[in-house]
Amino acid sequence: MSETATTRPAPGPPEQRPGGAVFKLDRVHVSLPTQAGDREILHDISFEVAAGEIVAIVGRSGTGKTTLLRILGGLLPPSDGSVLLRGRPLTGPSELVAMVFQDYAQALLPWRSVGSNVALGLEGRLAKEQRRERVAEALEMVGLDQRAADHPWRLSGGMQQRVQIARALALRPEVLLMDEPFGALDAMTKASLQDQLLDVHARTGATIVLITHDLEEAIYLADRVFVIAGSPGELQAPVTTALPRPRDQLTTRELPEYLQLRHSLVTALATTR
Amino acid sequence: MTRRINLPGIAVVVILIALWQLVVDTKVIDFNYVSPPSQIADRIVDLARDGELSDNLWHTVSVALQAWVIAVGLGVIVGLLLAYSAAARTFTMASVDALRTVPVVALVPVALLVWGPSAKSEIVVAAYAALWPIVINTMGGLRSVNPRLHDVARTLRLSRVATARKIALPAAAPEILVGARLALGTSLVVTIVAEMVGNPAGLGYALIEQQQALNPAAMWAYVIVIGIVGVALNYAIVGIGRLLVPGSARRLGDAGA
Repeated sequence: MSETATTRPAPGPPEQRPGGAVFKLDRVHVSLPTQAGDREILHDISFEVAAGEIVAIVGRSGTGKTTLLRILGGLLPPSDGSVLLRGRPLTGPSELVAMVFQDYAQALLPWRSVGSNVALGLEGRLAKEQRRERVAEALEMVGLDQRAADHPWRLSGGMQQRVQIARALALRPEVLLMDEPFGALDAMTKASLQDQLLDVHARTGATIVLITHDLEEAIYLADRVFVIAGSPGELQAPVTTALPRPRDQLTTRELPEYLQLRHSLVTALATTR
Repeated sequence: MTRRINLPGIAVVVILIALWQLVVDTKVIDFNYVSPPSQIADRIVDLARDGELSDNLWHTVSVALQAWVIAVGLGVIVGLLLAYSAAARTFTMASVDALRTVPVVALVPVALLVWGPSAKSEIVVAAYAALWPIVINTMGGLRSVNPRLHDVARTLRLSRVATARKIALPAAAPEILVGARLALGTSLVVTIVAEMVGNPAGLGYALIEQQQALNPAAMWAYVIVIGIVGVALNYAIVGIGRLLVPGSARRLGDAGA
């Protein structure tokens, strides 16, 4: 899949994107009000995400992974610290960023067709003809160009998640934020969607920040893996994967480096709470 | 959606009518003013033939529908306001709860005094009564829209108007439709009550007129016609709802059966 990817015309190829840091978080704290007063969810988070990079954030449940992604998406302001997107303070959802949620069944509009779900973010911003092109292009990237007229509930879970990814891609985002995107899918569907995501990454050069509780998925997809641990969550030093691309479900996962990373990350996670 | 004709259900209705005919014919029930179905049917045909029925029918149905349309339009707007403005809720929910629990029949004489015995009076009271189920269901439906859809709207940077129009209202459509159905029933009932106690027109007045003229068969004829109008309007709105909101059939349940 990835071999053919480089030969296809890429919408927004990597070399056209500005380099440097996409996100820069500096001493970010998040507290959310609860009945028992404010509770700190994230503690002193500082990190950068470089353009075109794939960053995975892993951690046990309750460590604030989703909260961190909502911060990056502009859905939640930090209680303290600064969040810069391309050097500018983030004040709300940005046009450079698209988000994919885990619960695809809730995130798609059941009364709209697949194509019209994908078009949702383009309506009122692009002329009809351009919109149609963008939707076709996005659906083609996730292999659903034949299903544009179907309604989401007629598709399998994996296909529905691809519709959501297509809706994000249609915006031609610089950054793709994904909250446990393949968490609800079976192992085989998950593997094929992982490869599709890497294919999309190779074609678009988008920066990807994804949250997962699957360590192996994190190593397989990412350039860097952050472990978030504790309550409130704190970010541990990242692990750079440095595995060769294109990656392959069989050979990549058999590399000694892969097994080494898996070993050290499992150990790192086991010592956290 | 195709619906199979409910034969056992229809059989029960036919048997009940036959039984009614039988107990009246055999004088098991012998009240002067309980007419047998055969006589009532004859009277419906008579009333239809001289045009009296269709005039009354048209008056009542058009008043009830006008009131309903006003209630739906106003109710959805008020529901939107209450769903999205905390200030609007804080200041008005107490009034809304008080107003919607006032038995609307008590307001019929008031309306008659203000607007006189006219179709306008009927429309005002019926629309008032039909407003509340729409307001409550619109507000409830909008407030129970899955928060994930609001996240989606925000990350796609939809405007407030686009969010309401493209996401919130369609998501709440099944609930709004339930409200609209309840409102149509309410509108018809209140219209008929207003005709009985105030405006001398329509099916409600005709029913009272026949009762006071001691014409039981004609009175029963109007009772049956009013029943049929209620059932027909309910069927119509459930059918329209199925067309407009394909997913609503399940949530409306057996409303039309």
